[in-house]
Amino acid sequence: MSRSVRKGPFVDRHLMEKVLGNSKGAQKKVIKTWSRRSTIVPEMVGQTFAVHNGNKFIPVFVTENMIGHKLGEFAPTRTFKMHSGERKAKTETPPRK
Amino acid sequence: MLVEIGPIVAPHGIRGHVKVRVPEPASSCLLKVKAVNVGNGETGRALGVSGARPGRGVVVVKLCGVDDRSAAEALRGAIVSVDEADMPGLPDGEYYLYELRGMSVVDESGTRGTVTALDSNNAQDLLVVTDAAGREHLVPFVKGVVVEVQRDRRVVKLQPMEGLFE
Repeated sequence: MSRSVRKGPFVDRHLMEKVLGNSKGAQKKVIKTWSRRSTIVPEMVGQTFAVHNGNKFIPVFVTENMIGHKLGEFAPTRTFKMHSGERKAKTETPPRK
Repeated sequence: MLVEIGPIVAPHGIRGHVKVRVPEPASSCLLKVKAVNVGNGETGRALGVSGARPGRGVVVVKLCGVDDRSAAEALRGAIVSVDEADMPGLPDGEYYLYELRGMSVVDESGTRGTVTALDSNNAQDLLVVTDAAGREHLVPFVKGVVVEVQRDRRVVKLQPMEGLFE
């Protein structure tokens, strides 16, 4: 069952305070957080979070198409590293379905 | 220069086909090349490719001179590489890992390290940057963080951001 719309998205209060404080400054900081359960809200767009995955902090640059997802979705706890030189890296983020 | 594509994970069928694990499902490189290098780096041998078709996470390749299952089985674990010149071109803003590997990562405060690998956070590619002390840092490979990639100078320029290299 999904969360009631009346309540709005859940964001940990301490994280939201950091987000609002960071957006006022001229130079943006990476916000370190353990709050994987917090929902990504529009105020977070353009900010970079370091989300803990249980082992280390994974940087996540928040874009518009991440709104509504949880921060934890972008800090995988199980990873598979590939070494192939054929792997490609894009500077553009494809829209998430 | 040879570009590593992936390992031969198993033989396929009885006519000498092999399965090569590829990093991306949409990988088209092996479907187009006429020859590959099989083995570890420069010590491998060059073999012609007489056919290739995509599979689930693999490409099934028929190599010239490998005509039965025993010969294919003997290649299990060998790394398949292709010549850099045979790699398909990419659109702007896209780079192969072999191009990025070894590039210096710089920002306002100087050189931060070199790119050693690629990782992902499920939404974005992450550069694995190793600093002079050998510590690994992850940097999102997105326009908001990466200002530009200078292929000729082998430099990745970053937006200054406090806390990225802690």
